Amino acid sequence: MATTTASKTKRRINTRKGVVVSSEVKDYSNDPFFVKKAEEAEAFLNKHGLPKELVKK
Amino acid sequence: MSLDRYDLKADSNQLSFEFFSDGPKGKIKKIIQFKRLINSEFPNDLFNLGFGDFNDAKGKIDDLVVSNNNDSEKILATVAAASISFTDQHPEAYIIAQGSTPSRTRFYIMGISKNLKQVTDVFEIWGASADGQWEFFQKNKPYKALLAKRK
Repeated sequence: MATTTASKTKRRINTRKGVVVSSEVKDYSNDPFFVKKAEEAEAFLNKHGLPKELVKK
Repeated sequence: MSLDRYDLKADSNQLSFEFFSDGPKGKIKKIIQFKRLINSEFPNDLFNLGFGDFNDAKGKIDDLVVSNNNDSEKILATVAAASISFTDQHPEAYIIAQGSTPSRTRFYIMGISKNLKQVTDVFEIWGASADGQWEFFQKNKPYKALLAKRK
């Protein structure tokens, strides 16, 4: 049934209007582009640190 | 925030988001990814916000492509909506964002500046200046990086 198929791929759990949680969405965290962006952010933070009010005591 | 934006699809952890930009160049699949940064010097919940076009031909993300779909403000509002949804699930998260090019970073800064009240109702925002010094975000200053935390 179409409803059953839809329920397998889309479900609404604690989401905002206009946001649907879906098993169709891949995890892109290991895409080379996002890995590179994260490395650049780490390098920036290693060089410049965080706002002083956020630094661990 | 009630700006015009695209509908989003998210993975169950609300770390990956997809939407389609729709304009003169057709439908373009966009990906937003919140990727955790692991470093003992950083807060536990520090994430990088990455954003780019999904290139079907290459099967990977490409953020240097310029879509020119005449919807840049709607796209920025959609990225903001994804950040709100992400921080609904990860309320203690810090989000760092840098544009892939200086002009793209300027575009983010202009977008936040234009909607500063709405943005700062929801997030605390810091900007890192050219010398890497962080300060609370001020309108239209040329920051190299932005950091956000849900209020």
